[in-house]
Formats: sequence, C-alpha cells, structure tokens
Amino acid sequence: MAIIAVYNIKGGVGKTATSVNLSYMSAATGNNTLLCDLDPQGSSSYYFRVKSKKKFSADHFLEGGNSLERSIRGTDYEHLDILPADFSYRNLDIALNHMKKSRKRLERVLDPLTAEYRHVFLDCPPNITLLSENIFYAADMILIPFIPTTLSMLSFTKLLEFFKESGIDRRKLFVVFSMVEQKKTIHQDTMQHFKGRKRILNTFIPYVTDIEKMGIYRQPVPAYRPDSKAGQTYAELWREIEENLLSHLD
Amino acid sequence: MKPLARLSRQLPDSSALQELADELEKKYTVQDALPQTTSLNFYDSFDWRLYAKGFLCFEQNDRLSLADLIGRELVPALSISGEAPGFSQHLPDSALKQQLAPVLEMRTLLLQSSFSQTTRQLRILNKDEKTVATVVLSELRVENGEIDQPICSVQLHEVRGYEKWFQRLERELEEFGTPLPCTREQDLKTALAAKGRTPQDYSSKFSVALKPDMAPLVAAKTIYRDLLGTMRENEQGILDDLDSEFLHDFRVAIRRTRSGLDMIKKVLEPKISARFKEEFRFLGKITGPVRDLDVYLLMEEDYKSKLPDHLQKGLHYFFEDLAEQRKKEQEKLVQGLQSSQYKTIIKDWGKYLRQKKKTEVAKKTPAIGKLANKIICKRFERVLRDGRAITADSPDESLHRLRIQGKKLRYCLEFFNSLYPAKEMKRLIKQLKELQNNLGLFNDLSVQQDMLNSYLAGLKPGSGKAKKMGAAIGGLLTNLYHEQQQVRAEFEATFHSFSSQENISLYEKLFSSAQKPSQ
Repeated sequence: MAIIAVYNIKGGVGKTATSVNLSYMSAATGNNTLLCDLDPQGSSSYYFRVKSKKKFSADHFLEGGNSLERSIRGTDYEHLDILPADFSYRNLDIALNHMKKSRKRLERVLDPLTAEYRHVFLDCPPNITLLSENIFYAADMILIPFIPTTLSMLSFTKLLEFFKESGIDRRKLFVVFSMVEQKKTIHQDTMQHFKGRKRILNTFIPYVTDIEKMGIYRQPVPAYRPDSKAGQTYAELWREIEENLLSHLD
Repeated sequence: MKPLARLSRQLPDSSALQELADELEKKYTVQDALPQTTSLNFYDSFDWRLYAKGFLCFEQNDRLSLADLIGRELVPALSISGEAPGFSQHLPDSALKQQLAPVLEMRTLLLQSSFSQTTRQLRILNKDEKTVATVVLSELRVENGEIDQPICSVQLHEVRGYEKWFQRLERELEEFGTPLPCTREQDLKTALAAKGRTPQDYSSKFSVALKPDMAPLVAAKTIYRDLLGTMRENEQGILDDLDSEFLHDFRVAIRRTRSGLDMIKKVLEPKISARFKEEFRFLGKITGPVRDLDVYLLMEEDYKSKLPDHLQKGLHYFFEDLAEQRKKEQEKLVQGLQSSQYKTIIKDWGKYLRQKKKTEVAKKTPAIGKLANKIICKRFERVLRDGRAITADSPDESLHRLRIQGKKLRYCLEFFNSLYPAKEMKRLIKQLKELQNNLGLFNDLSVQQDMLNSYLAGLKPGSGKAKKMGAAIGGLLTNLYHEQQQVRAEFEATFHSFSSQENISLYEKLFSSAQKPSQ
C-alpha cells in the first residue's frame, strides 16, 4: 500500500480537486483506493455526495480500527471508497496533543487499511500543525499542488526547511503545478525556473472551467468529461505519479 | 474489513427483468444505464483443475478474474490485453497468478465455454443523488449454443456504508419473487449443457464401473474402451501441442492398455491379443521421444535452482538445445498420429471393442470378480517377494524392476476398483502410491543421470559453449547423484510400511478367494 498525501500549507491551491481526481484515476486503473477527507470543510466528501455518520468524530478517527472502518463509504465508482470528513476534525490537533506518540499516531491508524487498499489518498487541511506532521510521517508520497507564483515559492522553501529540521525524508515530496494560467507571465517564469528539477512533476494542471464545474456535477472530472483537457491531464498526471511511486517504493 | 454483500437471483425470462426494472423505478430514484453486451469466457485446464479446487476463471472486458463457484472474486482481476490466457507462468506477476500457478502447474488454460452477456445497470440513488446500491440485470446467451433462451438473473450489490439500503432492496427482490439463487457455477453448467457437456467431463483418473458377475471379456472390453476413449480425447491437444499433459495422459492410457493385455490373460482371442500387444508397443515407441524431452523441459526451473549463477549460462544452452530437439520430435509425432498406420490401429481396436459376440462369452471362464481377485493377488505377491529380496547392497536394477511390478499392481487395482469397497481400495492405493513415489523418484533420478551422461559424452569439445554446458551438466550430475542416494536410503522404511502385516491382512480380506499371499 502507498499513502499519498495531497498537502499545501496554503489553501485554495486545488488540493481537493487534485485528491478527488487522482484517487478516481487510481481506482479507474484497477487499484482499490481510499480517499480520506481530513479537511473539516469536507469538500472531497461533498464532491462524492457522502456525509459522515452522525456518531463519527475526530476521536473515533484517531481510535482507528472498527469504528473507523465502519465510517468508510463506497463512492459511485468501482474500487473507490471514501472516509468522509467530520466537522469535529477541526479538533484533530488538540486530540492528537493529548496522545502518546502523537507524531506517529496517524501511521498507526492507517496501518490496518493496508490489506484492503492499494492506495490511500489524504486530502489534508492547509496549515502546519501536529496533524500535518503526522501526515508527513505516515505518507509515502506528499504531493504539493503549487500555483506557480512567488508567494508559493516562499511557502515551499519554508516547508523544505521544516522537513529538514524534523528529519523527515524529503524524497517524499513532489510538486505539481496547479491552476496554471499559461497567459500569465509570472506563471510561465516560475515554471521555467523549476523546470527539469527533481521532484517537480512534468504534468501540470491548467486553470480550466471543467475543474471549477466539479462543484456543480459533483463528480470527478475524468468521470464526467474523460476526453476534456482536464480529464486527460489527470490521467496523464496519475501515470506519472504511479511511475514515481513505483520507483520510490522499490 | 467486512466484505461487501452481494446476492444473485434467477429470473424466468427477459420480460421479468423489465418488470423488475419498472417496479424499482416506481419506488426509487433509479439511474438507468444503457445495456451493454460483452462476451464472458470461462477458462480451465483440459482436466478441470481449477473447477476441482472450487475455482472459476473467466475473462470479460479484457480482465481475467478468479472467483469461487458462487462468483465472488477471490483476488483482484488482472488486465490482459485481448489475448487468450495460456500458461500461468506467462501471466503478469499478481495475486491471481500466485493462486493459479500451483493448481494449474504445467497445464495451459483452455477456453471451456463462452457466453454473450447483456447487462443493464440500475443505480439506486438517495436524495443527494448518491448511489446507495447497484442492481444489475443480466442476460446470458450461450455462444454458438443450440438453445437461444437466455439465462436471466438479477444481482444486487452493496455499496460500502449503505447496508440498510441493501437490506431494503433485498426485501424488495424477495417480494418480487426471485427465490432461487444464481451462481456462476450454474451459468457455466448451463453453457456446457447447451453443447451436451458437463464440468469435469474429462479426468485423467481412470474409472470404469464393473460388476463381479460380468464375463471377463465384457469387463476387459469395458476397460479398454475407456482407455481408448482417453486416447482419442487427448489426440487433438497433442497435435496442437497445447501442453505436455495431453501426450502424458495419452501415453498412460497406452501403458495401461498394454498392462491389461499382459495381466488379464486368456480373455481376448489369442490372435487379437498378440496383434494389439504389438500395436500398442509401437504406439508407446512413437510417443516416447517427445515425452522424454518434455520431462526434462519441465525440470528447467528445478535444475536452475540447483546450480549457482555462473553455471546458469551453460544450463540455458542445454535447454535451448532440448527445445530444438523437441520441435523436431514433435513434428515426427504429428506425422505418426496422422499416418494411416496409426489410424488403422485405432479404428480396428475400436471396432473390435464394440463387437458383441456371444461365442466368446460361452467359454467356461470364471466371472470377472473371481478373475480380478486372482490377478490382484498375484501382482501383490510379486511386489512383496521382489521387495523383500532387496537389501542395501542390491543393484539399482532391482529397484527399477520393483517399480514396474508396483505399477502393474496399481493398474490392476484401478481396473477392478469398482468391484471392491471404495474406502478400503482408497487406503490400498494410497499405501501403494507411497511406495511408487519413492521408486518413481529413484528411477527418474537414474534416467536423468543417464541422459545427462550420454549428452555430456556427445558434446563436441573445444568450443566455449560446450565447456559451459559441460560445467553445468557436471554440476547437475553431482546434485542428482546425492539426491538419488537419499531416495534410496528412504526405500527401506517405505517398503517396510507397505509390507506391514496390517496391509497384508487387508489384501487377504479383500481378495481372499485366491490363494493366500506368502508370508
């Protein structure tokens, strides 16, 4: 099993769209896949028309095991399940703080799912907290959707420093350019600056209305518009990620 | 995690499917997809190894699945690109391959039956328009079948986390009246029945039903007819060279026939008996070379594992050469099986076995029940006597001869199996099998060493290739020699348990009408 966290310290960078569409692609290529919506806003859950159980909460999540498994929902797509978010997740940090081995708790929670799923995606809330640290430890790959601007670069540098300080393997990090507007010079320049570097993925996600419209259709783009540019992009991006995952995990 | 619930029920016909769809659409929000038609292909080995283990293997939409008899997938399906699956070792590494390989061994997957399946998927939606259960209406039509009536069924699939919806729909189906479960196994049986077949309609195990009061000639003919049938069934697979076991089963049938002709004496007319002993000896001879080569080729992985890396290259050349030889021998074999000589033998033998002449039966011979007792006793005594004479100093030859005697005993136990209580016969055969395994392995190791030695002698010295092959064969010979020593050392204990008083008593009890076996 591989755990793929989709993370950025900033919000509004296309994290949820990336999580939803990539987990869909993973499932569509025959892998049993679980998407964990860890963002208390629950946007991923919304896209899949799923609500969490009334009795489910942050505490249940951290407890793992049966109570977590019972909260997993099948989506409308073969091989794809989702663990919907709960509003109480806003307290995940506080709950973690009260636990032993608080940095590696998530790893333990996710471990039993290994038998069931080939890929587990984590749609992460935007910030650096104890939860994010947990995510960094647990993940095999941390995918960072990244709008190619100066400010983004700044936050990326910060994240790299944080990794270095915490002693987390930086080879887990992968950047995917997101919401790219090719008409904007700043986007062009930033991408040019990074081009060809290690851990920068070749495929980038354009800023297109098909992705924006996900909220209306409440479906992954490659499901309702597989032949569109956006649909094709996610398929291509998934192929690239799978290649990287394979070489990384071996 | 809890597996997802799934149920499958039979429906009488296509109009019932439509009625059910209408019914559901009245009560639920249903998203109806366009019907899709795909072909569904069942695969198994010629001798039904998967089915015998409770597995069903089928291909649909370029995906190969392995399921239990109900139809639940046991491992994730495998994408295969349009080609028919063959040997398990050629499949991509996967859980499916791991499941298949030990069951299929050297046998190839063959298409056993084909359907065309039309499915219509109804998604049951909740008020958020989220799918909470899936209902699949299915019509199966046997491809090239004689009956055009489709097999209609409905499948209900649980969506994780929506158990209550599943239960609600289950009640709905019950009310609609779908009492009978529908399994993949039934689908397969129906498809085969349309062509007058059943699962496991071929087995390499010998079995005929005899009665003790049958005239010996009738019984013998029944046995030979069954063996001839096995030969005929395997012919095409040999000609098409599908896998090594067609020829193997074919040869076993030849050997059994020859053994029968030797052991069941004075039953067939002398002229007939003499002629076909000769004919079957000939058939054994023309089918021998390919089988011998097959045996080595099947050893490839085993041999590889016996040698260190630097000898692998030479081994590779060796097997390349064997494969080349086999190709030539296979061509000769095909010619042999297509020759008029072969066809005449098979035709005449078949014709003779079908003849019902009263005159022969009139001869005063004991019924088969008595005769079988006598034959088995004689064979058993022979094995006991020869086996007891073997000591640690006896030459290898003595073990080889005992192996032949063991085989004869085995064949006659199998020929006459139906005349005796099943449970006891099973025990006897199991006991004998252990002895045979020891002797068989000993013999295999001898034959392999002889073959390697003569191959080594035939190598043209000088070339680097020959040197490498020589080194590899030398390495193998050392290995095989040690292995054989060990097998020989195990013989004494194996024979001791075969010749136990308990086993002797069982033989006496079952076949006692003849004289007592010597103590």
